[in-house]
Amino acid sequence: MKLHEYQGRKLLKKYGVPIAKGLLVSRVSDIARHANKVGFPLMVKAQIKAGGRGKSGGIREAGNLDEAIAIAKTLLGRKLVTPQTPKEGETVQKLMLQKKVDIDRELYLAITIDRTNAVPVLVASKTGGVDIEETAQKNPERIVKSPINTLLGPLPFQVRNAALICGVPYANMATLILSLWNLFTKEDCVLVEINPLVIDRDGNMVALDAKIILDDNAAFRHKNHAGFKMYSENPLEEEAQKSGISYVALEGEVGCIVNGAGLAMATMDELSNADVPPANFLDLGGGANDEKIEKAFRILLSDENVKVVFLNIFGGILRCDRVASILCVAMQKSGRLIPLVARLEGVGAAEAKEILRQSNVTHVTADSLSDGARKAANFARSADDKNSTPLQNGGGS
Amino acid sequence: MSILINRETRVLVQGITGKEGSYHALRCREYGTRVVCGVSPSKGGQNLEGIPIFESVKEAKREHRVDASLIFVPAPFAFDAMMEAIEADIPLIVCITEGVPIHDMLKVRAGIRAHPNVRLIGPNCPGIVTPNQAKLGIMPASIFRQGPVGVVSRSGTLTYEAVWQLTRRNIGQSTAIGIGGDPIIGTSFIDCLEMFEEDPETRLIVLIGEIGGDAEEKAAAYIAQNVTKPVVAYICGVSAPQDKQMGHAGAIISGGRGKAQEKIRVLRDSGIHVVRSIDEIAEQVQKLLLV
Repeated sequence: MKLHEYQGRKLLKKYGVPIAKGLLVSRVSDIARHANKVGFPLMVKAQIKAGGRGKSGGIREAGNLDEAIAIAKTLLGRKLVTPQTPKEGETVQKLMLQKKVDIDRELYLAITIDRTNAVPVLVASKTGGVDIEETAQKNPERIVKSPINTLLGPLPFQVRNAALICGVPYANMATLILSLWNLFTKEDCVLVEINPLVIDRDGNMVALDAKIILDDNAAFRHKNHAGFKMYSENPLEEEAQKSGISYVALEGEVGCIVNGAGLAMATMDELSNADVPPANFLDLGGGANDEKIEKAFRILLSDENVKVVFLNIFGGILRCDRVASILCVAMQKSGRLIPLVARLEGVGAAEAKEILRQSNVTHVTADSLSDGARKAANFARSADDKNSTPLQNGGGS
Repeated sequence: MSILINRETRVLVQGITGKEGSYHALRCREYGTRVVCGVSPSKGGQNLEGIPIFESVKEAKREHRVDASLIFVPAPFAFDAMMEAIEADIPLIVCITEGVPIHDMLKVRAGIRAHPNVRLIGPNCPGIVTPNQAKLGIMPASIFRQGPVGVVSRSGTLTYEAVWQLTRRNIGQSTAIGIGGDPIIGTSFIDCLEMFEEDPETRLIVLIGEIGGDAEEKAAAYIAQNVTKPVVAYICGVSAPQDKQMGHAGAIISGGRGKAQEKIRVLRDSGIHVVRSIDEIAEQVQKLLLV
């Protein structure tokens, strides 16, 4: 789970990391009250999860209340587009009003995970305020990367090296790194990134931004993380997330229902190869119960983009016939007579095909992914072709 | 020969009394695997259709020689179960569990270093099958056939797809291993490639990868230097959007890294046959085996 800046700041504060004074606003009417508490000049910062705010007008300085309100009006409730958001942008629900810090230098400090070597890594750079990847490419000598021993934590010599490259006193760096390490380990973070970590004119270290990603697999042991949960902007994804269904909304016309993440990705790829892009990624998983499966179909069928459904089930623990009967019921209930391509193998496949034959769902069966993709393309083209004759019910193959 | 497991492998099932554990322990035994005992704390002394259950791995080992442990323990307790098996020096540990926290896996990897003779497979994996000999995990038994192709994959369902295609063409498998879909796992592609290269029964290797991480790129470099047997690869997720987790915890393109196209390019540059569609795997394998 990627946190917003204002959520990350809560965690930084909890673990003793110095942050710049700031208050959160959700309404223009709250600005006056909060802005005066923070004091001017202040930075108005759009709270979106994607990066690249600064260069896209998402972080702007206000010298007085009128300016703050004017800036807020251009941001709040609107979609902000940055190089890292989807092309339609991300809606700005909240703003952070942050005291402007008199910056002497900008640094970079982060703890992340090196998945190749299965260790945490401390990354420190004397160049903050820019993308660390950019620094890594252009000026790698400005970065120090230290693999951290999982069981021992950061060691003094590693703190020393980080302090050296950043030009800060050892003691200050030690306190800060220890705080970040505690946050990283105790909250089950995948990433804790402070960029920029600034040194102000008085020589104090202040975290000016907070990028924290929490491990979703660890949610069961962090009741306090539930409060951070914000669902996807896409209403179908939101519904899926709430029901624990693995679903990603895409742009195409073919709704996919697959059991297995790898198979679901391969199905998407096959449809893209056949020039009939998927409307979604959906992994039913092996152990889904009837309710969950029905919910998944309902979500899929309520997507107006979906003109064809591609059902790809390799039956094992999850039987094909169970899925087929639930799908038929869901289609009836939705009232949408969408043609179906069914690729069914494994346990219950024969029974499933019979169920489809007996239903009034327009369908064809496929014996491979590429065969299924081609048939989905045919259906999609007929759906687009306004002059086509209506499809016959119960078609088999 | 095959790799990792055969009809002699004596298996202990951790989490044997749970819904998943009990169901699959029996399916594995049906397949011919020597499921000799199980562990479920507080259920010691019971048995599952004749399979004796113990309180702990230590207790189980007092009465049974154990070559491998198969873990079906739920995510919150999987770390402890893996560590219990590791500390007991069980040579092969297969953890099926999905949803293990990444920090737990960092600790497992740190903890396993003191036990160089222990191999962990998974977590979040379907397990291993050596056709006609043994099955450790949840793979559907009926699709397998004994033969010369070694299969190693990050995806369970794509393993089934590839195996099914091969079996239908009468091309059998030596061993099929699902290494798991998580970002941090116990055994890599390279570990399996090394074993397949040394296995006299394996004549060709099928490698199935996906977006996220750099395991495929590392494998490509290893293959170029160390693997003489032909390798056929398939990488899924070419059409996956960035920064979205596609089911598997490890299947995510982060900061522009881990794209399928890049993996395919690197694999091809190292002389590996990469098929564009999963449906082409068996055909490509057939061509290479006839040569």
